[in-house]
Amino acid sequence: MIKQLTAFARELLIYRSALVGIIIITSLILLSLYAVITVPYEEIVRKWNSIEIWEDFPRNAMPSWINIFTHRKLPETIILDSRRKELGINKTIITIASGKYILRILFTFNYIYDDFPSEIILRLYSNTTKQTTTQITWIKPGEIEYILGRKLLRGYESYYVSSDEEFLKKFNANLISKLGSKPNYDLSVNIALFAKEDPSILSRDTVEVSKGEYRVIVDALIGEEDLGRAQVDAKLVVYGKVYGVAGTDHRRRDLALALIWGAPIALAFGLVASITITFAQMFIAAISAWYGKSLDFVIQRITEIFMVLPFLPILLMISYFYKITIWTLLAVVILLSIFGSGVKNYRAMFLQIKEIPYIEAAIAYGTSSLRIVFRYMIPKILPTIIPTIVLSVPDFVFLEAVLALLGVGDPRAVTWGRVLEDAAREAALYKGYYYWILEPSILLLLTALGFALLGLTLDKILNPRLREM
Amino acid sequence: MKTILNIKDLYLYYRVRAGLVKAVDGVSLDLYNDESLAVLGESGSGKSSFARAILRLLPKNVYRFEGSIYIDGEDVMKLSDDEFNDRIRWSKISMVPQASMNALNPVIKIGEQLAEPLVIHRNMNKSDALERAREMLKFVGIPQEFVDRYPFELSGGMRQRVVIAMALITQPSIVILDEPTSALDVLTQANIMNLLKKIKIDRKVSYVFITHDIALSSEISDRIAVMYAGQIVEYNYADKFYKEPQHPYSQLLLSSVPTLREDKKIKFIPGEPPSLLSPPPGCRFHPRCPYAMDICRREEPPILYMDGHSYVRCWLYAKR
Amino acid sequence: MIVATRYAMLKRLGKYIAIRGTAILVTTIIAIYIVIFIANMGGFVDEIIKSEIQFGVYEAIRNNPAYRGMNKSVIELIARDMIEMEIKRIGLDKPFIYRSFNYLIDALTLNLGRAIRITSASGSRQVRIIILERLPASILLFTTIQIMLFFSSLVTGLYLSRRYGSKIDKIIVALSPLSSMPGWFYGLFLIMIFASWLGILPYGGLVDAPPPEHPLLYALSVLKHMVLPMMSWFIAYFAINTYSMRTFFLMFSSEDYVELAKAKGVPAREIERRYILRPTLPPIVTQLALLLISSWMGAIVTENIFNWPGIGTLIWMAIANNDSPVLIGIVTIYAYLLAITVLLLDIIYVLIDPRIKIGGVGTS
Repeated sequence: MIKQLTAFARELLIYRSALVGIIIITSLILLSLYAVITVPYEEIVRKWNSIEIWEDFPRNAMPSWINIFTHRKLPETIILDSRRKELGINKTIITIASGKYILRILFTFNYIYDDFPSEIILRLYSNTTKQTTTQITWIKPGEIEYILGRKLLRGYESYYVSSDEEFLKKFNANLISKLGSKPNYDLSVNIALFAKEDPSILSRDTVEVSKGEYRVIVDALIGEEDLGRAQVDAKLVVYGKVYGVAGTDHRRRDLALALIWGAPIALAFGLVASITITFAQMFIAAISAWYGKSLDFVIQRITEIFMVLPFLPILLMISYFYKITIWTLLAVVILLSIFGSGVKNYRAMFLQIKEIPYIEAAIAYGTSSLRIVFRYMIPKILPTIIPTIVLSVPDFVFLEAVLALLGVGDPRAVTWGRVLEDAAREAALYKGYYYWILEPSILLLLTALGFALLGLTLDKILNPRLREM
Repeated sequence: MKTILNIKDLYLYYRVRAGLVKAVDGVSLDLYNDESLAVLGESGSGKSSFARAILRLLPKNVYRFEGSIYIDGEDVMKLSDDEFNDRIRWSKISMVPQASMNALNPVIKIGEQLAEPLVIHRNMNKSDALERAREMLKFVGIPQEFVDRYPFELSGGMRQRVVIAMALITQPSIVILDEPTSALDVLTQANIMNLLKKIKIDRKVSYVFITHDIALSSEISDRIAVMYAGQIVEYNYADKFYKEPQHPYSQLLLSSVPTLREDKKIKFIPGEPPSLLSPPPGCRFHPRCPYAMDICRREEPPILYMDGHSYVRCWLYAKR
Repeated sequence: MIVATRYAMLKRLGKYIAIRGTAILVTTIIAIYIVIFIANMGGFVDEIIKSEIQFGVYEAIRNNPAYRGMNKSVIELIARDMIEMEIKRIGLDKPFIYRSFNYLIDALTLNLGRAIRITSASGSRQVRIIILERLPASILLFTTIQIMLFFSSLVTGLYLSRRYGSKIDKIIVALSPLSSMPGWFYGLFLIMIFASWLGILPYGGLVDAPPPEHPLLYALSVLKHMVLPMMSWFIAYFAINTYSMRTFFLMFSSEDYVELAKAKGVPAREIERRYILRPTLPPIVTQLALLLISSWMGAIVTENIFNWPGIGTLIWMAIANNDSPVLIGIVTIYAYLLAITVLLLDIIYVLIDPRIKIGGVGTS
């Protein structure tokens, strides 16, 4: 047996296409193993569907390796959190008058990128619900200082700097007085806070980032009685435009997570469906062919009924009406498929096999029916169904993607199909987020290609008729 | 009486993944028009390839196909494929293949298939051809209505008769029969053999009868060619052959056949037939030959004529 | 004698078709019943019927002069009573089995109810009309694609089977993994390239907006819109179809009777036509029918991507709009389409395969 397998493997590897296919599939399996070992499925689902975890991630960011190919370096996200001691954010207390103190948090960072951030959010935390007045100052390189505003802090406050219209008005007015005119495009706060304030700022094509050291000061006014007890912290997030290996989606989620975790699900779905259905069809066909008469008749009629049932529309109907999980979906797919047309094909093959003399001989010396089916008939047909199994894996992987795309998949599942669905719903193509569509598509493509290459080569080797060629 | 078939130094090699198959490796023979020839050999001896080669039915990846085949005085090897197709195939030579379930086109009526060669090679119109088809069916012992039937409606024996009828309908000079009865039961086989014998007498056709069955070959042939590993090792008249086989292989073959009347000790031939991919050096039979000499292992024995028409390929006879 | 056999054969054919037809009818009935069963496990078909009743009752009240001018709340009460009566009459309060049986009859007669939100272009809410209105667009696109694919891959496959191992043969074999991606997948990229980047072909839809007046220009516009969907399917399926046709023909050309035909001196053209093509017709036609069937299914996503106003987009709309009557109606119609195709296939099979036509000895 082992010798047969090694001889077979050697014959298979002669074909380059099979080799490529095997390499792809092995990579996917390794990727899936990595995914499964490092993070359990439940946690992934939780992570993917949560919001807080992704708070500090940029929205719709491209993968960071894009920066290798562009000469305009896109910014990465800068996170400065005063609560994290290791960052060494400067916190001081300044006395301004008797009984009045300022708790000052000083953020410093270097901005060296060629493009503006996508968003700026400042989050303020205090340990009392007593209303505290805070003031935020923004200092650009060259000591250009802006007071961004005063915020009343009560426990927690989030300041969306990027949508501060008030500041924008002031800034534009400032520009007019400084440069004589205002910009000929709609300036955003992100640009305002990071641009060089010379005539280049007036046109969208020429506006430049002012590179250098930036300081953001958060001053909180506290009274005597709170000195020593009051804790004010802040988190400044300057959101970049690139992140990680795969970028992020509209909910700030790291796409790499879904892409990696999509692999085991795609493989599991595809392989389980393919193997189960093919084997089930084979058993049903074998029994139908062997026992004949009424059992055969019933099975044939059932098969015809299933052939008339429109597979995809029913699947759509079920997933739409009954809100199922991805594994229930798998079960439904299998149930709907096992009486499919494969049964008719295999039955025809088994009917031929049944006529082979050694089967007759086996009956003659009293072998039980079950043994005949399993030891004689099924092994004869095994070589022909192996290519079928391999070749139908991509069909099921794409089936899951299709259902997700049409909006009826498991809404909590983390699959490539879901990523595509999100992208399609958010009009990613129209908005130019090509990576969002390309990444899951390429993975789907590779998976399909891997199995197709292997399957077609297996077909060439194992198909008995073709062997004679 | 004239020479109807004369083959000189026919070679057919073709390529497979494992190497080069030397299916026909220097075969020569001649046949008169009132004689029939049986080609005897084990499976893998190249006899089927040889039969097909005469009709230019070549395998894929032919490496070498050369020699002369004179049919009725004309070297048909010199003809182009189209000419060969037109004038030789089925006009001068036809074939009855092995009695498979599949020799007839399953979706075309028998009459049409019978009539087809007449329409193609004898320029007959369809209705005349169908008339002849009906006559042929009668001749081979099948009811004439079957002209409108499909092959699957006939039994194996009847199908083989139809194929024989089809092979004769253009009145060719030579009919190649490639194991025509090996897939049939013994009774049907006997019937078919009788039919063939009748045809041989009535129609004066020369058979080239390919078989592994020595008993069968004795029924119908005037000459015997024994084929081994792509070569003819003995070519003799039938009666002389059965009385006194010359080549050691022929001797062993004949002694392995049980006879009804004698109480013969059955000998079997040790070893296995050689592969046509890498035949043994020297005489191909030497590994299994009880008389193998030194020279047999080194050099291929030449064709040694015993009289004008019979020869043997064996070093034992080279002493002369 | 000949006349008698002809008549006998026709009678035989007729009987065969009748038997198969009945079998398929029964199969379809059972299949549709299953569809309804699945749909109504969540009570959705009941909802459809209830809303039908409500609609009907309010219509009746509005059109009945006797109820004009009455107090709103009084009308409400009357309406509610009438609805209850209707429910009892129809048997909506009866057990599940009884109800499903009724629905089955409705579905079989294509009495598919009213849509919740979707309307047809003519303004009707009837599900049947909505579906039948969009059916032609799907059939136009996908039947055309399938027929073109079929014939082109047949001819190419036949051509290739004669040239086994040649360069072009190897190319087609190398391209066959393209089929591991479905057609719509290529559609996405084709749109990106030809519509978004190059701008020479439309993003989708059936026809230019506004549609041209002149019928010829209209037809041309439709053709222009069919180019990308057809291309996407061709890229996906041409290579694999040609590959399997070629494999098919290869297998059939190694048959004994083909070799004998060659020995008979039958010219190559004739061999191709009578000895290779004719015997392979039955399984090839089966393939075509199965392809047609699967094309109507897989077409759903393609239609969506190309915004083609056929059944596929209708399904999406139904899902997006929570319009269950339309969804169930579509599934029913699909079942019918499949059944009809299977029956047609059987009839064609009978006509071209003499083994079934004559029957009797040695049928498969």
